[in-house]
Amino acid sequence: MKQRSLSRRAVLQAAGAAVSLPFLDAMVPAFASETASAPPKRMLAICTNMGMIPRYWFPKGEGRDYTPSDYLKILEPYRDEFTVFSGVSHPHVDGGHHAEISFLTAAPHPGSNGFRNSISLDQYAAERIGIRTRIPYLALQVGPESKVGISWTASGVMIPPTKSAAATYKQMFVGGSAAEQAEQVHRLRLGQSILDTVAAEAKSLGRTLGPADRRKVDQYFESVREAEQRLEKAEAWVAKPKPSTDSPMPEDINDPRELIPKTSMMYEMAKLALESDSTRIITIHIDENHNPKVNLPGVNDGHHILTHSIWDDEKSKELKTIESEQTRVFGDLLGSLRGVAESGQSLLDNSMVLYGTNLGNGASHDTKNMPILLAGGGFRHGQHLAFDEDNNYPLPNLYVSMLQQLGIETDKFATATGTFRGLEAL
Amino acid sequence: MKTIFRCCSLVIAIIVALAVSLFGPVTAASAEDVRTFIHESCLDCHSGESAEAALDLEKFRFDVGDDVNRALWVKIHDRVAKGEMPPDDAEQPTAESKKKFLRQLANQILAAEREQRKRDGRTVLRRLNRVEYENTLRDRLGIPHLEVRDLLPPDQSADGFDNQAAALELSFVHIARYLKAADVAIEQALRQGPPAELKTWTVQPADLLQIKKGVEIGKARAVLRQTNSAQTPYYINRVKPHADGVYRIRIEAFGFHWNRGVTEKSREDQVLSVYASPRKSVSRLLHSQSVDGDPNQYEPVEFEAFVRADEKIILYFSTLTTANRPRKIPLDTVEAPGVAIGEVQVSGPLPEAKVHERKGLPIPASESLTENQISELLTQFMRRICRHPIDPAVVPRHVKIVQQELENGAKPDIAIRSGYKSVLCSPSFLFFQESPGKLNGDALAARLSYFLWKSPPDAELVAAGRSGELLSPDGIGRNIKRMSGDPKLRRMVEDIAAQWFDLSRIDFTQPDERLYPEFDVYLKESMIAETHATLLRMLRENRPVRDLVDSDELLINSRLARHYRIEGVSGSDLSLVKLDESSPRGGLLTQGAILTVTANGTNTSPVTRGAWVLDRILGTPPPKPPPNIPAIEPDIKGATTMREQLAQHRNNAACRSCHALIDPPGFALESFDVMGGWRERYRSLGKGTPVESLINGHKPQFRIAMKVDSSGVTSEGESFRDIHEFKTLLLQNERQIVRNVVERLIAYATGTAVGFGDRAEVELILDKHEATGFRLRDLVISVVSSNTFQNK
Repeated sequence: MKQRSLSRRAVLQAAGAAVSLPFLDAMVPAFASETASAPPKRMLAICTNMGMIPRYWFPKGEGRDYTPSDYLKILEPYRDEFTVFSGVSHPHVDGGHHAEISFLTAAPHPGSNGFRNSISLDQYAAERIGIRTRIPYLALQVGPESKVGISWTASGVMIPPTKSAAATYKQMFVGGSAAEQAEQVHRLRLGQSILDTVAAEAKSLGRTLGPADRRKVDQYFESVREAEQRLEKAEAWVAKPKPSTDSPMPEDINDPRELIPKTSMMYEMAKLALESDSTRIITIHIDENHNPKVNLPGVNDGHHILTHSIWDDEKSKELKTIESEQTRVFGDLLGSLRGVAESGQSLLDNSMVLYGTNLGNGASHDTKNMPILLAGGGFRHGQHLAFDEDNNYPLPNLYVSMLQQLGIETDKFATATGTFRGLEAL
Repeated sequence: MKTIFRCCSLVIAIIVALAVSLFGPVTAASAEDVRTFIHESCLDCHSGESAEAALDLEKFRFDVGDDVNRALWVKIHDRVAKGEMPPDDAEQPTAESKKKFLRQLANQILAAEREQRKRDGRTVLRRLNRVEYENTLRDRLGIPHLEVRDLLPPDQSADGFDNQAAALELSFVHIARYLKAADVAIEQALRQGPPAELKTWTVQPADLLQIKKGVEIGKARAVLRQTNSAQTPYYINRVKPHADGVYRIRIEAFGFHWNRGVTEKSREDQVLSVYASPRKSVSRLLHSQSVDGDPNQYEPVEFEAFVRADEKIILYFSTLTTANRPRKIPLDTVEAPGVAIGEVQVSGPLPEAKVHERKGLPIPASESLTENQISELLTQFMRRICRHPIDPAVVPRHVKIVQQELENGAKPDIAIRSGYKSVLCSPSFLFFQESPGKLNGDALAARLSYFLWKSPPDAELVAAGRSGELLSPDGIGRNIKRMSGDPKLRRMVEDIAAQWFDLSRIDFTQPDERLYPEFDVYLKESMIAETHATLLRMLRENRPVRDLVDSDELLINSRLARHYRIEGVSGSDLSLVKLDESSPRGGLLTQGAILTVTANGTNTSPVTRGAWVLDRILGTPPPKPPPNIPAIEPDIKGATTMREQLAQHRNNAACRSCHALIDPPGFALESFDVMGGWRERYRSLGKGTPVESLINGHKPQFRIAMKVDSSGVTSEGESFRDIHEFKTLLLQNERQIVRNVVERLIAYATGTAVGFGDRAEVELILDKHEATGFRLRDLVISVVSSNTFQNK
């Protein structure tokens, strides 16, 4: 296991002091070319929120010689590219479906009264390395009308995810005319001036308030400052031409029943984003909570309802059809990442792809024993790391390992106790 | 200054971390009785490594100045006060020591709470949530159809509502989105150029693709059978709204009975529903109306509605079914209900005076702007958009923004917008202005207005605030009465219905079409309308709170009447119906919408519904289930009932204590299926007797399975046979139900849940209204008159 020295920041955070230091020293100037020849490391985290039928997901046997389950058989062509885990979960994360908001934050007891979420893995990384790309992070979502997401700020605010593949494509590849760019720069500058103004107002307002109110104004002030810095960085990117791509612009699918094509399309956007280095941090939340039905042969019931009927042979077949298809398109994603060559390696070698679900068992809303898999990103894969099913190993440790792999110096994230046991970086 | 503050908070954090264990040296001497009691009655179980509920009272801090710590001590206080702790099988404290303990603990908690309120007030600085934000812009800028709420991140909830001050956090995401939303609002308010051209489309039935082949009745064409289901949309493709705005829609239509080729008077209500269908999301209902009339005379459906440029107009024949679907059946051999459509006329957008008045956003026509002029314009704007007097010191900063834009070469009419945008992102706009102690008139008017209207006060209410009228119960009563008559009250009622009574969940699942073929979208819309109308009526007509549980009247239309099996109701509008003694209906609890949101579309669970009643109606939510206990899954094959499965569950001692509380209300509600229909037997897709009669012209797939048993024994040991008897028992807890209502109203109105120190005032309110039967508007008036509401 690698030991890393603790930064001053990490010490402060460990002491629980309320410091938020956005855009840290780790943030190199926006245009510094990656001096080292090694391609950058990226991260893609995917959460599908209805669980997976455990008996079709978890493999038999441990280590390198495990026997794949039905779903993992679908991923067999990529066996050496991922590690599958069992007996892992987030400590004290319960609350059934509520657990999805803690999927990347590991904040305990989601859904309890007074619950306040904490920063998610992607945002933690984006605060530190997001500045190196045009788009600091992408928070994407597949699913019908939804009020939840998996990307959260440090103050417990949900980042509204983007549901449109087309909009994501435009953000990455479609540049404006010179006039439009000038207008954009103007808007960003005006935004900065306005934020300067309102920050000053907050500051003088803060002086007149009691301590509790002042904390609220301080939060406003910090938020404004952070937004301002982000505008400033965005401005630096406007003049820089956007990358180009051979892939055509996608046409969004609006039918909520088209789970599989929609997922596929979002995966394609993620791949394009990583390939073009538009961003290095992506989350995809696949929200099936309110989906009436999935358009697949033989599937008659809503996805959610099916997860509660797995004792019924007929119904579990329907659910298996959905989950198999979800796994298949995930495999396609791994394949397409592996297909992109990058300095003698593949894009997959440099992209950590976390895939899993917040429910260990959808039928009983159990949040223990989460189905989780990590592909790519420069780890020694091809194994099943099995832990105690009754006394789970902390999943946040995996997040620490992932952060370190991104080059972020930390040995803490949420309730992590260290890096992930048995997972070695190459 | 900020750095200093940070350092301080670090020091404070360390002090807190070191602080005052109850048995440490720093403990206040006055906590003597607390200490003794804990020592004698609690430590047996609550200490050491294996402390019960992981609560080690030996180490647990006594630091009621801290919110979180205090909340836990309040819990300890309440459990002892209710006699739940120490548990029955433990040694009991003497009445005297228990009394002393409770008094002493209460005093400590109250003192700490008072101290904190002196400093900060009860409600911490509150920002507008995204609904309030949108309404404020809509009302104050005169853009009634502005939609910006979805641009902002969703607000987190606490204590059941998304307007609770402490939970309304901010982040850079908000700030970025406020900039964007301000652009959208200003853009819409100042829509440049002449209003969109008013167009009129006249479409004949022969031009309607799906209808033109229907039976000809004079000029009209009739639909007798639907190809798909009652949810089949009929598009009026020729109408192409070209700009957002209000359109007048007129559709000639009538319902009739088709008797083997002869048109007769309709035998049941036929309803036409008109929706607008956006390209990217679900369609929204514009209007529903009964179309029964004389077949020889057209009864036009006529209304005005807001429609967006990219939307299509669609019709649903909500009451027609797919019976007679096979097209081969000759029409002169069938009998069926039908709806005929004549001419369709749509015109718009209608000129909307208000939108183009630009009342909130004065735009200079001059070629240049002086500093004074800018200052004047922005002050005027701030007076309109903010809900409090404007501090003149705040204005110059925004003026600078405009000047900067002018220097950059922007024309005055464009430059001034940047000033407006700046104001819309500023604390003066985003935060409520309330100072510790008594609220001033402006703050009171704002609080009251966001409570009942979810939007800023109008001129009359502002005046009432400033004249001191909102300080006396009489003045408050007058204002609330006026506000109740305003259509904006609907916003509050719909918000409460969505959050408190869970109507926001109604689309989460849909009744399974094999088990519940009777379900249609028109029924769902009618259910929602019923619940909203019931709550509105309770406020407007000052109905008693017990209407939540039971009432001898219902507000229903013909579709709900069919669903509830009540005779003699016609029309799509809700009308007030007097109920028979024998009816299980009456009261919000047995409304279709409530019974739908507490089920999951396929089956019902007494646990879910029982817990819902305890939480939402009684205000005594059950504890969360212990981790890793699988939920009981209903068996739709019809082999065992939930009750049988639950019985096994309850044999387990660990489960019994809570399920004795949770299950009984759920058992009583077992008489209602997943959409609130009455049932005496369960439906199943497995075992059971096939159904011979047709539903909507088809043989149902479900079978009739086991008998429903809706009897039970309450946790107080009172048995009930069915929902009737259960309602009577539930109403024996009327005071607790009203307490729940008052406490939730206080949380919703003030942005902060009822604290320990607010409880006495809640009891006073209850005492005051007991004699008159706890009428809802009286309670609202008392809430607004209370110290809890009148102080920050």
